[in-house]
Amino acid sequence: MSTETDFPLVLRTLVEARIDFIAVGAIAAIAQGIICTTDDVDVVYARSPENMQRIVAALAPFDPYLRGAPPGLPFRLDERALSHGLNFTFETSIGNVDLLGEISGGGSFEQLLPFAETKTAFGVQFLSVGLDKLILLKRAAGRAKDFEMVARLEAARQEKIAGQKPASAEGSAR
Amino acid sequence: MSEPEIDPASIPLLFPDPVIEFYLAKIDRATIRERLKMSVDERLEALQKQGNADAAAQKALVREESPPWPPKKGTINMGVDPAWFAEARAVPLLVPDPVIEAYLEDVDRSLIRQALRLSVPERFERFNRLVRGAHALRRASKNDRR
Repeated sequence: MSTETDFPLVLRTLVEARIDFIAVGAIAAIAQGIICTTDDVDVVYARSPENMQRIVAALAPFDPYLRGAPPGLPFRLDERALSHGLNFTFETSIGNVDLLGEISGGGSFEQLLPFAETKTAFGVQFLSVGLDKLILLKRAAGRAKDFEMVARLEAARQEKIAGQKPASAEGSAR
Repeated sequence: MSEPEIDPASIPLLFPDPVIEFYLAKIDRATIRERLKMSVDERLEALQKQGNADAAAQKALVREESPPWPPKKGTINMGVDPAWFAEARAVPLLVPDPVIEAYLEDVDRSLIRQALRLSVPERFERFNRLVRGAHALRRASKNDRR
């Protein structure tokens, strides 16, 4: 199984399958101007049956498996597995995908939607959580590694507010 | 005459799931039965003992992973006049917090400004180059070890 995430392919796969999702985590941070590395794509997904069907159809060809689980588990990604769980960390043949039904500080897809912005990357458009909400999500996560990211996001926010950034550079379609 | 004992393993799961059944087969039921006979205080005491034993066993393997605290100031040379950032620094934090302020002192704002000058697609292209570079390094490191 690949541990090298193909970010363009993962994002294109999710978008082309018309999955309702909002990018959070590092992908959202990059969209907001923080260039950092990551090993996975974190998204908050809608828990509607139709959306879960689309997720299963989109990811099934890439052999999704529970990341970090011992080999040989009789795991199969289907709507039942998704509906019984909430937050999943998958490894797939195109990389690591974290599907969050709810996120600390942000709640569900529907609750996060008012704070999402449309962003374009790798030729596809997708929803990504806005800067202020991303700061709050990272604070709510409360892990040691998140504090440094919060500081970088706060600095980006300060820079934006202080008007140092050329207005045309944002590329936000919302 | 007492009723025949029920095999707990034969009781259906609340949410039948082959993955949970896989893990269930590896469960040490004897320990669970022992713990169920204990009072809550006794269970906590057993947990403490187990934690102490685990900690002692792993002591030799423990290494310092956390960065020194407080973070060393001045370790990152931003190479710019600090006054340049005065305007941005004056913006209050979204959520004021001395911990974040401590980290903020070491944030390289010049990198952030560079990234903010890029369009969003350009930021992702840069990120992807960074990731591809990291993957190449990781592969090279693996090959070297072989």
